Amino acid sequence: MSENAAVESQRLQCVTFTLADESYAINVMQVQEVLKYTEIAPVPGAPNYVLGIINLRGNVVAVMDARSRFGLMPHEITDSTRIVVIEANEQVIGILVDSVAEVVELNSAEIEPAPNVGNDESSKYIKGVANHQNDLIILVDLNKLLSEDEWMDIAQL
Amino acid sequence: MTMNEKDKNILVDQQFALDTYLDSLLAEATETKVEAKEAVVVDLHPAAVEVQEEQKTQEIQATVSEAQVNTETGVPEWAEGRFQCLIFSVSGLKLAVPLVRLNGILTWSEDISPMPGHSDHFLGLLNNHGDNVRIIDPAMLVMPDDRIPPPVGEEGRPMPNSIILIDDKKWGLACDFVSETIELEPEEIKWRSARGKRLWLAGTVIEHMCALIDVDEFARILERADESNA
Repeated sequence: MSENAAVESQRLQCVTFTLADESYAINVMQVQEVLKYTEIAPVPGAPNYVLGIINLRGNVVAVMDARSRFGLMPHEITDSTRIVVIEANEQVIGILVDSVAEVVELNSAEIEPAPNVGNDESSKYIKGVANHQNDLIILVDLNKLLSEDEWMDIAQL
Repeated sequence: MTMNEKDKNILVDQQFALDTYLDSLLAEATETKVEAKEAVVVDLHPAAVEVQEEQKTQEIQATVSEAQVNTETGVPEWAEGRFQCLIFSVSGLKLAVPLVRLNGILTWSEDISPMPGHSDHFLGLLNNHGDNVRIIDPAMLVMPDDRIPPPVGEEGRPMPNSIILIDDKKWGLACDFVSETIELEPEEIKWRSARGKRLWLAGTVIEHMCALIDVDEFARILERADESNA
């Protein structure tokens, strides 16, 4: 097989979730599990993007509010609300999302770089966009979801 | 009845504010024009007292420098002869784009996907026949700082009705409504020779009280913002 053919056939499996009716995708390899909403214990002095911690089979996992991170209005907890437990930057954290949809397979060729229209620093986590079945999916780079300092803050919780 | 009068007053105030803004744009255009004229007069004046041969040389030089002014100071190539423009309205301000630089008009769609973490003028991406069009709110870029409206759909600002496609359909300008197509002679426009602050402003059309957009420059501004943040 030539190198080109290998590049063309590169496929990325992603878990998609929704926030304010928009679809987002994260690399399936970084997703450990998806939990139904469970009580999140607030941590005094935690950074504002951290909702609190949950006890996951004896392990403490910090949960981050994806809406607040993405600059979206807060939303009430519903039956569809999920906590996606992910591994990024050698840490395990949970992200609170409106709902988890499915696992999709995206061809690397159909992923376009994200438009950098007046972005602020916090939007570096957008890796690209892809049109999938008439729906636009925003690809999120979980490793860039937080800055180095913020990852360290989370590690100290 | 009272409500109507109140609404009318608000509308009149808003219109007055916009007229003032347009007036200031017009004033800037006129001032720069006068400066340019004076500059030419200064150049030509010594020639008047020189011998005829020198005068001719001066005149040739003046013509050359005037031609340079025209290209440098941005009377765009599409405005060299009579041209057509589309007038549309953004938050009460009338803007005009030349038809030769227009790629299409779409009706406003709820399918625009906003992108988190982007600036207020970027409304999101719209899939148009497989291509992602970057939709922007021109009001956030062209309105003066003290008159920037609330984001679309918020605090009483209505949702846009149409999207004007420019720059090979890369960008879509959200607008309240598209009003009419007009034909203009280059002389009907107060060209803005020195593009200081508002690079996108090609000039102003007094008869229609609207600002003429230099689409190429506007797209460049948008692209630059894109690159500088990459």
